[in-house]
Amino acid sequence: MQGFRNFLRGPGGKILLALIILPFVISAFYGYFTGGNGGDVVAEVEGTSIYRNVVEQRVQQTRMNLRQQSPDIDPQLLDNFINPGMVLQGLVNNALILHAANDAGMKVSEEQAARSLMRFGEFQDQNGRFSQQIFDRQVRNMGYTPATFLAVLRDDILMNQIRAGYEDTDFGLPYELADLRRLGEQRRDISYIRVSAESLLGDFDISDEQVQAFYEGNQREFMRPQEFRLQYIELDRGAYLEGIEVTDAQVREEYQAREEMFRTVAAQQERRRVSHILIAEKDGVSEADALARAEALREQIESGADFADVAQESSDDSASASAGGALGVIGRGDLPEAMETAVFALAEGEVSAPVISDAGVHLLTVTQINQRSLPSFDELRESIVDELKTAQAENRLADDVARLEEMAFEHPDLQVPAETLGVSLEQTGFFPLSAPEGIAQHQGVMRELNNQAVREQGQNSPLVELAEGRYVVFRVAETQPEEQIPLAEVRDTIVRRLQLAEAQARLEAMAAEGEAALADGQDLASLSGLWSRDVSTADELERGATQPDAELVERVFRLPRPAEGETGAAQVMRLGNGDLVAVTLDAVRDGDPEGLTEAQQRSALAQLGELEGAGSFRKVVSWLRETGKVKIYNDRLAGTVEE
Amino acid sequence: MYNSEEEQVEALRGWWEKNGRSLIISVVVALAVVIGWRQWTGSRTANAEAASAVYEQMMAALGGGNEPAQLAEAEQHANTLREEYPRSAYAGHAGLTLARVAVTQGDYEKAGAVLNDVISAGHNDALVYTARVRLARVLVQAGDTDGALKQLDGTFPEAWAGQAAEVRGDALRLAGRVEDARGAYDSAIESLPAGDSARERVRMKLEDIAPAS
Repeated sequence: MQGFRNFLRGPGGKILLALIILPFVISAFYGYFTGGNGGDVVAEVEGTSIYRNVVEQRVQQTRMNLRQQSPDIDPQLLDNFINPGMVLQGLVNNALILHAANDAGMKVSEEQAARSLMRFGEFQDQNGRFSQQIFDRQVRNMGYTPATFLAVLRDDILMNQIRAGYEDTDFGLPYELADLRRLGEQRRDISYIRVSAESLLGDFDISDEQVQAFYEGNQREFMRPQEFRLQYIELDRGAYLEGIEVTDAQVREEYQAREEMFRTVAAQQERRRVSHILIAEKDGVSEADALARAEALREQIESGADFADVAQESSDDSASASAGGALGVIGRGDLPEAMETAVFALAEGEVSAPVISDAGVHLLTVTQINQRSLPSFDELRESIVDELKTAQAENRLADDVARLEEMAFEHPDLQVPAETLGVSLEQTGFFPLSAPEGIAQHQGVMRELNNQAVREQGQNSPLVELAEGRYVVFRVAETQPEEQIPLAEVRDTIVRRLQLAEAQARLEAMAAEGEAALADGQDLASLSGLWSRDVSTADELERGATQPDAELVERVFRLPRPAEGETGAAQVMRLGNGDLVAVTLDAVRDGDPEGLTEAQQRSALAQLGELEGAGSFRKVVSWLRETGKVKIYNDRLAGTVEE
Repeated sequence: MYNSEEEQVEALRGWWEKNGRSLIISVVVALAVVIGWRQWTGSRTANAEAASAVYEQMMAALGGGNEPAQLAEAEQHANTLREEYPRSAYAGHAGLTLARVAVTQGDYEKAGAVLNDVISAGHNDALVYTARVRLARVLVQAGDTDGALKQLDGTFPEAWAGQAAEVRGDALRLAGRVEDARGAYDSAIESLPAGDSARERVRMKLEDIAPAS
């Protein structure tokens, strides 16, 4: 009731605030990590326990959020990425940051948190205003109570204060930017000779005897792995949908049931624009006086006076009087019961009999009624047909899935189950475990295939859910044992390997030759003669360039800067793929730190500041990890764990 | 124990005369302590919450980019925090904010002064280490490499060791002590965690001053 009185008198925001805060002030504070605690304690952070089910819940929540944000993401990748170990690390960091905030005496009041609540789009009604009802519902959907939600929110704001206090206060300095531009945008010119192993392969003839000897000496390498062919029964909801018919009578019946529901919902959600005139009970004005006065005003309006004019003159609610008594748009539950009953019984333009509330006596009128219109039969027909079909298909699928599961367990193979269910028995081609095909590409199928009884003894697998509404049971129909691959098939591979080995040895020798020549004072041109390869040049190389070769470019940028106006001494190097390279650094041109307009310079400094800021907060967190009391029980955590 | 009610009453009265006064005093004192403690913590909480509200406004202004009007607003809130809640950690972060505002305006002297304030206020270690490294960077920018090196003297916790060594390298290099700078950059690379982008940056700086072979 207090809330309503304020609603009549004060500005909107204040009351709403009071309404929101009230339940939180009353209810006990539920700690962040104690809310819904259960399962083992998986970590202790400065005396706060983190429970396993909180971690698991967070994992699910995070995965769900990410999946909603990017529906195309590979679920398996996502599950690997968002794992309990990672999430626990995040929770530990959060707890440390919170502890640090508390230690530093940082505080967030109930009011501050409630105020930020109002900015959440999720909790606003269609007019963009905070709605207590929507808030309650959403919060419960998320698995919180309003009190725990607010507690979490306060913690969140607190953590954010610490984060911003380091991250957003950092800056970039002109000398740092100049260094980055000078070095980061440096360009280098080189001359180089490159000899690849590939280019030497033709020089080496490999005899049949050599091939034969290698083949015999490395038998283990030339084995074809064991291969499997699967037989399976697949049940797919899509297939069930096709055979289902829905009669017109069924659709009508369903429509009638829904129409009833729509009507109720529409009535529930009805909004009415309401005006009122308040005759307050105060000193010298009894309830009877107020009632008589209200009755008189009502007669005045009935006989032609404008409600708004009368409200302006006579209403004791000064806040609304000036607006002709307008209270705004009201839904069910917004007003005290007596007033609500009166308001929702009125026709548009009608004036109510006097209604009594804590504030006094009211005359009410409705200036506008917004009710959702009911959808027609034709509008709904198609979606009803779809839903009825889906429901029936689901039922039949569920029945068959249960029967399949049972039969697969009872029968030695899938013949009888397939006949009983009237479905065909499918099969895959042969595949090794390293390269599964068809249904075997599914992780669940692979897992069952690793089961001894299924893989070795030909038993039926348990039921596997491939995707929503798709189920499969399989067995190994045929196995091809591991076997030696005939020499003819691997001959080319062996020849190439032997040639590569020879080429590597040749490159080794050439490198030694080259280094000796350089030590002797020779230059790149003489290496060109020595190795019978041309000298190439590459100019204007940038850091991170991939041409002529990413590794070569990286190595070039590691070379010391030659003295002004000179070229660097030639160097011989081997790249990771075995290629032999001789290179000279011909020129180094620094990036121009002055080459920015004032606006560009400002925005570059701002970006640098953001980067520094992120680093600054990371340092604080890692220092908290360094010094804080943290105990993590990895063994109590299900799933993969990262340290 | 006592023979009659009278004796009991008498014994009580005797005890009261002996101890009553001190009992009343200790009850009153205990009450005063409890009430005082409650008021003190209550006012501390209220104080912190008020500072927190100002802090939120400061951060909101700071988040609005580097527009002069935004910076001026952030500066105003920062001054309020430093003047009215000098002992709160919020005042420390207000100091960091003022330093950022001053740097954006090119006023390195002021940036240095407010960072010095944060260091001497010593609200907590994280603030102090952060401010020390930032101060050293500002001093390098202002050309005071000796001052910067002084800030970087002494040991830093692992978390800041890499950055401190990098700034030390910058200061030494700009002071012309290339050989020492190399050593500082070397130890920066050693201290920076793998995957930190600063590591690549330090490597660039180090290779740039590598001796020609």
